[in-house]
Amino acid sequence: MAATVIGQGITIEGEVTSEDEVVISGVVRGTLNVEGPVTVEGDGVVEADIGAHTVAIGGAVTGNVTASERVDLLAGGRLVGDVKAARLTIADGASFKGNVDMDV
Amino acid sequence: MSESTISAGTRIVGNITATTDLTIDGHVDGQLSASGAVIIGGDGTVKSDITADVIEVAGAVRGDLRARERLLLDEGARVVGDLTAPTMGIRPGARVRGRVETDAPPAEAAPSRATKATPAKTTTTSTAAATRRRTAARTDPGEAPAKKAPAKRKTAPSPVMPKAGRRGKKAAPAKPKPTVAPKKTTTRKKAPPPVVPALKKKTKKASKRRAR
Repeated sequence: MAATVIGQGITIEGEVTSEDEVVISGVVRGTLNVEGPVTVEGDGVVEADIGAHTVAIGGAVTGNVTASERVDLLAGGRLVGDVKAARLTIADGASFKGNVDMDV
Repeated sequence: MSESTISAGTRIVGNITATTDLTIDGHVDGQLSASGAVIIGGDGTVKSDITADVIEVAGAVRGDLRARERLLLDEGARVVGDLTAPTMGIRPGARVRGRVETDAPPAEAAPSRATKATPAKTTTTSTAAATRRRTAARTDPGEAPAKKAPAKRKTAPSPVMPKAGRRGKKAAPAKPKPTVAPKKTTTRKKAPPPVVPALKKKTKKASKRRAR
């Protein structure tokens, strides 16, 4: 498995860039640029702008999210920030505050 | 609790704090402090000081390593920086350039379990020499010049010097092997020194080691 896992108990302050999948259960502050998918799990806290292929948010994200493919805001997910993506889904039970740009 | 991994394609510039174990196969540039184990895999490259309970290195590190419990440099590890730990291991094939200190006063806020350190081995090179070496090291990390030889001889004789270690390995098994040269009398205990012109520089040292 070539995924980067930032588990619970890990705090990163700075710049994260990756060519692989990134799964976040810990804390990331700064910027996050990923060529693969990004998953913010229930315990994950991200205070960073996220750029990725796809983004799935089940935790708390503060920052702008840009995805070349899609953004999924899952139930229990929390997003404060703008979303720029071709596709966006917001599940029942998710909270979201921000602007959406779906490139129309 | 999920295991944390920085995979090969991932690069982090900044500070990392961890309360759990962390495996690094990617690149980290910044500060790294953990209260668990930090394992740097063979592909991992880290340009930062590392503080953790346990540190295991098989990849490349440029920075000071300070372990509260133990430190292990595996085969293939390349470290430029100072090593501090109550107890540590350097496996054959690991390369180090820096000051080594075992059984040192534990790092601040170290747990009491660190007190059971091995008392035997405390090797400290002179600070001036260490500094000189370090400044040199910072400028060219790639090669392992002969300059580090004196310090290394004190700590771990053969295995740390990559070239010498390899040659030592080559020379050692040649002795008992009867198939290679069956004509040789058994009285000749030492294989003829396999000194190649290319290795002329190291000849004196190598022969000294062999003499021991």
